[in-house]
Amino acid sequence: MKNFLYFSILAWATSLISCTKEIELDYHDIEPVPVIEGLLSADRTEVRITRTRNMDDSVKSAGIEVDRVEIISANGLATTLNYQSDGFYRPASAITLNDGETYTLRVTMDGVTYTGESTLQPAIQITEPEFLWANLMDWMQVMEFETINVADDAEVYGWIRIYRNRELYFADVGRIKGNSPIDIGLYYDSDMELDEEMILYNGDTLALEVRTIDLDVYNYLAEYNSTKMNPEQFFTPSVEGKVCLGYFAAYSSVSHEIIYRKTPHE
Amino acid sequence: MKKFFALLIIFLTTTCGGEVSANVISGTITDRRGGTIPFVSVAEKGTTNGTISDADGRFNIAVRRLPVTLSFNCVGFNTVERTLANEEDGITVQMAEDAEQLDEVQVVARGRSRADNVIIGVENIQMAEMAKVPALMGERDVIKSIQLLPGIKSEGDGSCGFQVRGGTAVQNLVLLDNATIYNAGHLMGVFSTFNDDALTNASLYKGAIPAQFGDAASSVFDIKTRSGDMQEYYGNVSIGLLSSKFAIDGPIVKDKASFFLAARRTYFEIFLKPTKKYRDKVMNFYDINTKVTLRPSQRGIMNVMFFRGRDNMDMGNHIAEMHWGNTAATADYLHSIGQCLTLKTSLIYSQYDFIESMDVLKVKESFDSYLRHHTVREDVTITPSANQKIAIGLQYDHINLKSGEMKMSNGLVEREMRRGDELSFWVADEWSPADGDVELSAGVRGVIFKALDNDRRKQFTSVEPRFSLKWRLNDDQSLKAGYCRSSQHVQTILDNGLSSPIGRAVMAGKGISPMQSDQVSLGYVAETSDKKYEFSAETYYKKIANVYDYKDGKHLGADIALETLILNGRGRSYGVEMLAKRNMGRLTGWVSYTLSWVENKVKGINGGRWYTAPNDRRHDISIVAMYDLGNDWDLSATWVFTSGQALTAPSAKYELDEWTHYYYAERNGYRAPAYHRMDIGLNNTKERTHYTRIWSFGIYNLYNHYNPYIITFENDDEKVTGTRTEQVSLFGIIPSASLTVKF
Repeated sequence: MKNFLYFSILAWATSLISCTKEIELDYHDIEPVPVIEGLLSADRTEVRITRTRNMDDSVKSAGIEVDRVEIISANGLATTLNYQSDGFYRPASAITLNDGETYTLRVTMDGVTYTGESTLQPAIQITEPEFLWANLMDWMQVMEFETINVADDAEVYGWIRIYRNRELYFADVGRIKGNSPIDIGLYYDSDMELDEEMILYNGDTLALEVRTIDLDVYNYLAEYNSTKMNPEQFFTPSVEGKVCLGYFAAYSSVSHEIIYRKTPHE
Repeated sequence: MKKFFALLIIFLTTTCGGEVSANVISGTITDRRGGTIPFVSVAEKGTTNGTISDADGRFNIAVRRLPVTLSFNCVGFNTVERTLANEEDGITVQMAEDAEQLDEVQVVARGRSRADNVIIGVENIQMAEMAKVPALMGERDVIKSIQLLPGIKSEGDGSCGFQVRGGTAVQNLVLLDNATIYNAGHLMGVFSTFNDDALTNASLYKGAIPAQFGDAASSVFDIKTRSGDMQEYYGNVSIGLLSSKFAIDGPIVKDKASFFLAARRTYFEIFLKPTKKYRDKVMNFYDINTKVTLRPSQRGIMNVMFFRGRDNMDMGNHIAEMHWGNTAATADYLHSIGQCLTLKTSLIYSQYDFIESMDVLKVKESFDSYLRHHTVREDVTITPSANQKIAIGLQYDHINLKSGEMKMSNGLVEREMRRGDELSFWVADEWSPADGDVELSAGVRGVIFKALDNDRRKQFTSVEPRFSLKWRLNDDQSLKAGYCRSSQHVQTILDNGLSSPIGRAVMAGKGISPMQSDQVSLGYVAETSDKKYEFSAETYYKKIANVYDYKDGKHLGADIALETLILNGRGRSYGVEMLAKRNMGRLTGWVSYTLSWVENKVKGINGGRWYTAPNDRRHDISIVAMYDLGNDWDLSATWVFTSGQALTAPSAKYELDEWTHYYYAERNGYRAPAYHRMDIGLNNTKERTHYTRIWSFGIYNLYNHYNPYIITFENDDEKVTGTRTEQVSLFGIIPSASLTVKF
């Protein structure tokens, strides 16, 4: 909150006087670093493996095939995931999941095994989201909803995602203590100079998904979202000093879909 | 302890009484306001015998015969001659300001030039000189002015943070009449906290810090405020485009008591009112300086000072607002005993606080922090002979720190509070034999710091030697050398490497060790025999233990416990700085150049290898020129150039969760574009019968060069280069005008 508020006010203050121009920066090239994105939930189990690309490379990295990808359940049962295409690995059959159990993702490539763990959290319930005016800035509308089955003394870690017309539009993580209102500021079409891709239009289909995740995944995503820099490495390599990016998240989720209609300004 | 002091005073009185030969004259030099004047030249007329008053305006001179005529000279004041028939101590010499001289663009460093001063790496700033330098939006600013001197860099556009010899802004101790001031900037650093009307002089110690000062790993900026006139009432009103200010002073009881009051306020938000979008917004600051001076006897002066500066920002109807500022209050009593003993007792309180809150729909959150010092200080100055001055002192600080308290909508409250006690004591000796070629200033400071909280209880002690040597090669040239060790127990953790109101402080304790710097410096000073030109060069090497940097992926707001966000390591900086200055004539000014390196080594960052510190900039050039056009007009111009600041930029990118992310392979491995800017100022001063009117015009960033403030990276796969790199700049060309009336 502290940084968000400070930088909101700072952005507003500097917007009164500042100017922006494009510059050239001579980016350094480095050896590609492996990237692992593992997701495990009741309706989606998949792992995608890619590598980083240079800053001046305008072609997205293709997925890669590696030596071995497996998920190990709390009872020690290992499920090998099969290579599909473009770096995607999926199990032949669904893995049985239980709330509170810890699952391990193990990926072996180039002679190094990367291991990450994640504990499945129970799903929470939320109210139907609605749109309100933030009155903070003329260009911001707020999507508001509340959690309704979280115990007063419980703290859960939420990974909130909004898809606009099936494309990821917003994603952030937050700590939810007890039943709390959650407000998400969204842009709507105004005379502000905003990124066009971020502007909401009447009739847009918005799908809200709230994933409950464990603390390690929350920390990884929170660190990246707040600094946009390297989070602490999630996966432990079998060879010291090897770097690997990405995370493995076991999660439960709840979703709501809503058609965006600009509400009357209060 | 009381007994110890009584014995000490008796001992010192006896000692200096015994050592004084014949014909010693001592006293204090003040202006008409009762404020002491530092660095005044005191000469025995008809001889080459002379001395210079110290930072508190005190002097002590041994004369050969009586009666004697002493001549007191200081730029900006009329020369005073005083004939004395007998040996005297505790005399007060009052000097009147020379209005004509001040209005000329004949700027001479009033007081000790680099050649005069035994201490290496000290910059003495006079407000009269500062008045001629062009300023951002017409606001003269002591902090912006020092950034034009060698070895001192601005953090960036619009910042009041300054970096000294490879240190960061938080490694500087800023003192206002001995009260500690944090984050000395208004409006995110566009203006400094200090209203120049309320100040008399300032000294920046960037090399060998005298033993009287501590708690600064990099530098000490010692600023003194003005006192009221003891005989007449004076005032001035200044109206600018963005702010206005006034100052008034005069006697409460003639020659016995005086007052001084100055206040400043912005009205930036007036320009926002006509716009529908911004009319509810608040963006302002104010500051107030006041001082009461009492002179109960010829031997004693008492000052009570109060300062408050406040910034307010509100995005409308208290939906999201921020307030921050400093409050300081000091009371001190300066008393002379005998011919050579002066005591100064000070009570000091200072506070920096910050609060922000958000009240949007059902989200009600707030964050606040503060840092408070309660201080008692005793300074004892002994001048056993005209060539020697001994300073002994003791200071006790109780520090309360609320590093942060976050209150969330869901009732979650997180708080981080710390307390500490610090006891410091020092002995320093400045010795300059009348006929010798070597002058010496040496001292030692002892510090005991105790963290008081149960979970972090720990005690740190340090012994800090300070040393400066001047070797006069001939009448015009000197070599200097210095060494300084200084520790710092409270520091602010910067966000993005820049000073800002939200910076959170940490205190030494379990898990956090105090920073400690060791610096050696060597210098050469030369001036022409007529003092018209001056040249100096200094080189330094500084190492700092316990510098802190963020862990990968961590930032200021990531956790209430700052210890979990930062890593500790060591730093080093080295460089050379040069200054060529013309002191007299219609054209005055200087050219300064600094070549420097700053590096850190922190386990867990950059693979534990040395890496460029965020404040590293290779070249820094400042050119300052002031020209007397005649007919009441004067023109000034400055040009600054600084190599690009070290920058952490990504080395690769990758796709995760449908979006492009960045991978940073090295800390501060890139350079931002270079910074350069030219400012000009034009003043017209008219003397009228009862008042003086000054029109000041200025243009900041004359050739409208957009300098880097923030650099952002955005993936753009439609571009051949794949990445769009953008530079956000803060200020383009900014004209300003102000009208000042002095009466």
